[in-house]
Amino acid sequence: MAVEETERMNDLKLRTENLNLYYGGLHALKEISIDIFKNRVTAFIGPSGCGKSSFLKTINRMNDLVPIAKVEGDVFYDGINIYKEYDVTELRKRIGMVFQKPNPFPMSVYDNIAYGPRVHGITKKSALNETVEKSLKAAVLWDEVSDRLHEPALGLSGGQQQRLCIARVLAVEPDVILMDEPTSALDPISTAKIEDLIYELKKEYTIVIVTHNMQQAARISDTTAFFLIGEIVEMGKTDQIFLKPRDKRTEDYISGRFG
Amino acid sequence: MGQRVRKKNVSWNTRKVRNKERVAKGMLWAAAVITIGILLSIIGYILVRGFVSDVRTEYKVISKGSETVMMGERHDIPVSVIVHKGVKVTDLTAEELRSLFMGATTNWGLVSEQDMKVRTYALRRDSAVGDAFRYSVVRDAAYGDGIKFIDTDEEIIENVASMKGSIGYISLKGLERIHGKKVKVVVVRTIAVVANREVLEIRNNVKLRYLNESQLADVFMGNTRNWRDVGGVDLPIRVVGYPENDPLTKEFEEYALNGEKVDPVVTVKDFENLSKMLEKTPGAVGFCRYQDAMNIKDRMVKLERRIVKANITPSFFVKPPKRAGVVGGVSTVIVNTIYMILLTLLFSTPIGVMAAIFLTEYAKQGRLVKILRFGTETLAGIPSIIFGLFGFLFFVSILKLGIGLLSGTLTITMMILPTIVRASEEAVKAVPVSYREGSLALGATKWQTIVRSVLPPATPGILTGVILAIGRAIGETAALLFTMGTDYRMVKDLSSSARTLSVHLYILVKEGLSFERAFATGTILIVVILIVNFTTNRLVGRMAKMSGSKI
Ligand SMILES: Nc1ncnc2c1ncn2[C@@H]1O[C@H](COP(=O)(O)OP(=O)(O)O)[C@@H](O)[C@H]1O
Ligand SMILES: [Mg+2]
Repeated sequence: MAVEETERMNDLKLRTENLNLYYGGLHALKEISIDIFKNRVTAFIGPSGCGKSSFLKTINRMNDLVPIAKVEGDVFYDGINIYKEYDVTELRKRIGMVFQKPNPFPMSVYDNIAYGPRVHGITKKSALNETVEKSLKAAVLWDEVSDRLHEPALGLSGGQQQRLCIARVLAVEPDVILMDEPTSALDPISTAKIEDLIYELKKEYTIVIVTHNMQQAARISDTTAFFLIGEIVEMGKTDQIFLKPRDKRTEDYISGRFG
Repeated sequence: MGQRVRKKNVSWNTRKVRNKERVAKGMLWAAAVITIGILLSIIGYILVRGFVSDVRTEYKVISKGSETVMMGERHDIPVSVIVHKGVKVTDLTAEELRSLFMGATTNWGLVSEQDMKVRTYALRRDSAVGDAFRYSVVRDAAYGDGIKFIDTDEEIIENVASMKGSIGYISLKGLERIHGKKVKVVVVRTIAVVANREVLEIRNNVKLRYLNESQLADVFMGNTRNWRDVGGVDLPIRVVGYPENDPLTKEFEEYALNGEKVDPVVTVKDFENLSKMLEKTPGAVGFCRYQDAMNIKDRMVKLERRIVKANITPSFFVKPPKRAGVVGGVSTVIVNTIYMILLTLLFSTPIGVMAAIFLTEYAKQGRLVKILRFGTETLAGIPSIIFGLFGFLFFVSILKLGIGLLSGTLTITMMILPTIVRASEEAVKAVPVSYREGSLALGATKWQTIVRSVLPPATPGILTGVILAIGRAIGETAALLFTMGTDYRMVKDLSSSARTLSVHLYILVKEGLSFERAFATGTILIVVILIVNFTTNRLVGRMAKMSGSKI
């Protein structure tokens, strides 16, 4: 029992303790205390406006950009308090983020991938070439774009753009990848490709994904958390959440009674 | 049938709305057409006047003349006037010729728009041709000081060919020897039109001002019967001519009437009789040699000559202006303008863009920013003369920079900064937040994010502001007159006074120097602005294509 406990502690990637988020007068996250483990896919589901995106943004401190946002409580990444003891750019390098709408930069495919390494000081052409190829391959995009690396990224299809954004995150060698409804703007085929990719990526990375689509959560995640109006109603093994929800509200949501 | 049914189904109200829609559409269309029409006609007019000069000048002699002119008391000695090939004249009036040989015109500027000294060569007096020339051209005055007297036609040809700006005259025999020499024969226009005194007087507030080429022909061919019809007094026209076979009649018919016949009411034998006839016949008009007409100066009829030719020539671009801009081109002024623009952009673009970035990205969006923004907006609307005044007091007087390139460009920088700041602000604000998020989420710092993913997509918008600013700077005169000065020579350093194209244009018009040159300068201005707009558009287009974003 004790051994299992320490093993669990070793696998702990992120932990929040009594995390509260306020947007001015709006209490957007309430007393969130959860653990997120290494090499797992942790999914957050819940109706829109319940605070899923806000939660992700507290993890890589993108909320710093919102002047009225105020965070209380603690977030630990590898045991370090990210609001107190972490350089924000270093944190964001370690914890990458993929957004709901694909947002490639208006530059070439190559420059998009090389963007991160470049801002972190890598200028050697050979190193960049290698990173670009490796990242595109890891995002299963290489075969589709290897012959158009120097063409505008905005010319790619939506699904390709989203995989490009994932590759762009991979290029800075992160540890955790946050994904905020990464497939909500995509067609089913592109969605399937991204889901396959997520399955591959979890071998090396810790993935936290917000999804609007419960089936997606059921398909790809190991752990699922159900959010409702700023609170975590229930969190557990995905199978358990979907098959045997403990909370009535979770059951209602999963069975499609609201949301 | 179906049509009618459908029509019936359309309610009265629907029809009313539709009609209103149609009227509104028509009005919008008309407004657009009027606006575009006005703009195109203004630009078109300036361009046409810039490229084609259509000059009407009044002379005392008819528009055409001959290469060999009969001179002397009896008009029996043929003389030809030659000039160095480099002198850009094709014809001279008897008056101009006189002024050149009297030494009154010492520079070709006012004759051929060339800044070149006039050198005159004459045959010695004791030759028949020399005497005739003196009698017909120089008349009662003396030859100018600079004149050189030479013995033979050959020597005159040699001399004229060897010195720039030379002019001389030779006999008919000498004319055969000019072949292959650097000289050319100039047409001399010598026939004047004289009239009865009443024709030239003011009566009932009308007065004959001049006759243009076709009016002249109509008068002498009998097509016009009353002076009223050519803008003169109400008096029948009576043409007095020389006999049909008189050489002067032949000449006049060839040069003024395109070979048609003069239709005289009276014929006289010589000038003496002509002048008597004019004296006693109301409405009479005749023609004679300029040398004779000078005896009855006050009865010469002014004749209008119209010359249509290219206004902007390549030399206008490559030659520096001279003699207040009446002579030469605008090359140095173009260069000065370019210096002014480049320096202004060098100062204003970095400052403007940085200010815009500060206002949008860094400054706390509070009262201060609002005030700053209001300030820039107000500055953008302030008349440029105010900036000129400020520039004069601050840069020229207080900072003691003097009137020159630096003071001028700093003043223009002040003036266009608001335009650049505002355009840059809009452009920076228009960059999607998702680019910033994407960059920051990769661990880029704020500054890296601005430099690498905000500024590049904002560049087309910033450039649009820069174009507007360039447009304002190029068109500026008021702010520059007392800060940058009006020297049309090439600038040597930051403190030298410099004239831009617009200031040049302003001075040409204000000083009444030359409307033709003003239009030519205006055309160059328009072309410069078109080039600037075209290249920036291309640049923006290419950048958009590179990034793949739609503009
Ligand atoms: N930048 C912001 N400023 C103010 N309120 C915000 C901001 N972002 C989100 N909110 C509010 O916080 C709540 C949670 O939003 P969000 O995290 O986007 O929900 P979800 O991603 O679950 O749809 C919503 O009520 C939303 O209006
Ligand atoms: Mg969301």
